[in-house]
Amino acid sequence: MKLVLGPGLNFRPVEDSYYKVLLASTVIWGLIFLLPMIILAIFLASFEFPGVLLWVLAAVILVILLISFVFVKRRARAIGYVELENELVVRRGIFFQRLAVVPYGRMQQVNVSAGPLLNRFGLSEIELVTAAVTTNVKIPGIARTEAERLREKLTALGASQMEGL
Amino acid sequence: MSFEELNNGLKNTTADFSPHQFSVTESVAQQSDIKTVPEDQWRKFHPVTPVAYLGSFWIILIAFIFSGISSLAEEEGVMEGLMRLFSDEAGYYWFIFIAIALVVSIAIVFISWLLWRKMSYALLADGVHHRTGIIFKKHRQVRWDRIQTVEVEQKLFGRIFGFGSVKIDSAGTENVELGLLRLAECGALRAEILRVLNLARTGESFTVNYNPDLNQQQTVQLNGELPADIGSFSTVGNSLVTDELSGQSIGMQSIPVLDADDIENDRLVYELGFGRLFVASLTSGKFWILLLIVFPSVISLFTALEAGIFTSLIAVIGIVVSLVSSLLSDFGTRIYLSENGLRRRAGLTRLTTRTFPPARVHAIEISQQLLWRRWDWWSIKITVAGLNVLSDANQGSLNNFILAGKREEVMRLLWMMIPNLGVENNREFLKEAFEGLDSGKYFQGSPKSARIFDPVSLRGRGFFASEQVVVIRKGRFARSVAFILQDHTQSLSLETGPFKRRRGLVDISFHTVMGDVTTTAKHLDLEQMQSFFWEEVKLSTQARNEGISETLQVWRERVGV
Repeated sequence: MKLVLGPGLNFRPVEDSYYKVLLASTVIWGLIFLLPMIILAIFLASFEFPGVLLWVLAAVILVILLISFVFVKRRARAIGYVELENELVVRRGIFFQRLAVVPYGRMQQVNVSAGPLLNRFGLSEIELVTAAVTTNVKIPGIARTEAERLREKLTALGASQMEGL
Repeated sequence: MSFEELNNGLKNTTADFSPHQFSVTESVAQQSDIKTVPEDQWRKFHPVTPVAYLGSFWIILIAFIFSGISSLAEEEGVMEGLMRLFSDEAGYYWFIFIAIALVVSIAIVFISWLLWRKMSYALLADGVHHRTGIIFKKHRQVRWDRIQTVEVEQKLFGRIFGFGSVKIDSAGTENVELGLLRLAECGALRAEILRVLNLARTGESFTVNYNPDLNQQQTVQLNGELPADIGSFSTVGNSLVTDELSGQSIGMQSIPVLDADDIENDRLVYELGFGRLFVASLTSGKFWILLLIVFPSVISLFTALEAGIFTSLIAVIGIVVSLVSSLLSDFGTRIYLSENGLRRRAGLTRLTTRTFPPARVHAIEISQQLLWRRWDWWSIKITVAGLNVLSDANQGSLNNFILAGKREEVMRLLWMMIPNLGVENNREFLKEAFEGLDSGKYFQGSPKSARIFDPVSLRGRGFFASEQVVVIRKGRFARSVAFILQDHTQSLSLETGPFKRRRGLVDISFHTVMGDVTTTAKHLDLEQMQSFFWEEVKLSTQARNEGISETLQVWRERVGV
């Protein structure tokens, strides 16, 4: 699974522990989908045509879950960012790869947030907001200190290079 | 979630996010910020305003009556149902019904009248003020430099009796609607707001000088002949075309502007005739899809028993109404070249007039429906900063800037919105944009390896970037060409999925403010794009630094207003 976008850029990875967050959230989401399926399957407890579909569905979800386990580390490692002279470059994804370039002068807000999972591992997520909704750039899984540093830097750069729409 | 909610949502996060945020929204000042407005500065709206509120009540009433009749007819059959409706027995209920309707109408007018007495507006040096409310008083102020768009709107009532309201949209929050006012007054008010906000934005000093009584006496000036020197892209930089075009007034006969709100002496640069509106709508893809949906209902209309007839009828009527309403919103589209930008005036039952200052246009998409090829018609969509807030769902967003125009007309409008394409030969370039296939002198086509994703229209895809614009071409038989102004791109991204990656393909997206133009170029060659992408990043940085967009002053000189 080669990361094809942005070769030659020295991406700074997110924290090593971020894969644990991905792992935990995968498990939680997996269970949310899997449990009702299994409970229903047990209640209906048949291996004939309509009932067996539930088992098949449960098996499929399980397989997807297992596959995602294999990839969490790589997914975490695929996230990276570079602070260039005029813009911030953020890369993410292994199957669906995306590389976004946000000029500092375009940033309207820099949001730092941390959900319960991220918080547990002492991590934060940083989100860049421009006038375009489609920008949609987030860097999850960076250390809180790093998030604060980035926010302050980006905000300062944004304010000094601020351009009209 | 609507755009508006989204915008408000964004705004709320801004407000929560304390010292480090540097938001550009915050348009309507808080109560405490508002300095008191001298009492004599307040102006009232037209006394007819309360009556106009009745309109929506009567629409509900009519819908109620219709549903009553249709349920009656379904129960008892059409003829019997109608008979009963006009029997003596029913007359009694009709009497009660009409009496109630009258009482409620009077009550509505009375309450609206009370509200109207407390409604007023003022134009001051610090912005537009608007206050309403008896019990819950509301005073809103929109600062001059925060105003995004100003439009005159006429609903059915206003259309019939010659009233309108001026809608002011400021980034992020709700609109301020000033109305009803006499149409001439609306025009004057809009012109004054536009004048002042332009001065405020460029930082010049200004005095608000609005006197509706004076303006009302201002006569409507008729437009003379269109000067021959009006420019267009096809006439620029190529002597061959000038011959073709000179002396020709394509769809722009010297039509005097008689509309009451056109008090600025503006030039008509485009007009959509009813014939073309009708034909273009009937030949558009949207119509055929609608027809496909309606078809079963029509069949059932003819085959159904009498009892079910109303249900099918309602379904058919609903679809026809939705078609007609989209037709209505484009009805009589006229584009004027005014001092403050291109002014669009369109609509039958709801006439809206909107001015698009040139610097606010961020992207333009020109597209052609499959069946329009023989007439060489194209429609224009634009992405305009601050517009998404205005176009809420029930209003029907501004889908088309123009529904269908001949190529010359479209080229002229394009030229009015984009100063410079950044190429030596505009004509050659545009020909390639509108007709070209694969890679050419200017455009970079998509590689053959993408054929599996896009067997038919792949050859139409193309991508071009100069310091001024990014141009994305797509479609082969039904075509679309999107122009994105370089200095208005917010950010950009490269995207690829597992299958595309295997074939060495990538999509490039340009993120602009919310609008109708699609800004993704798909299925491009990954290898080429890797380096090209950074080239493009550099181009847009350069464009922003140099500020390639024209100021209003320069624009005026260029287009000659």
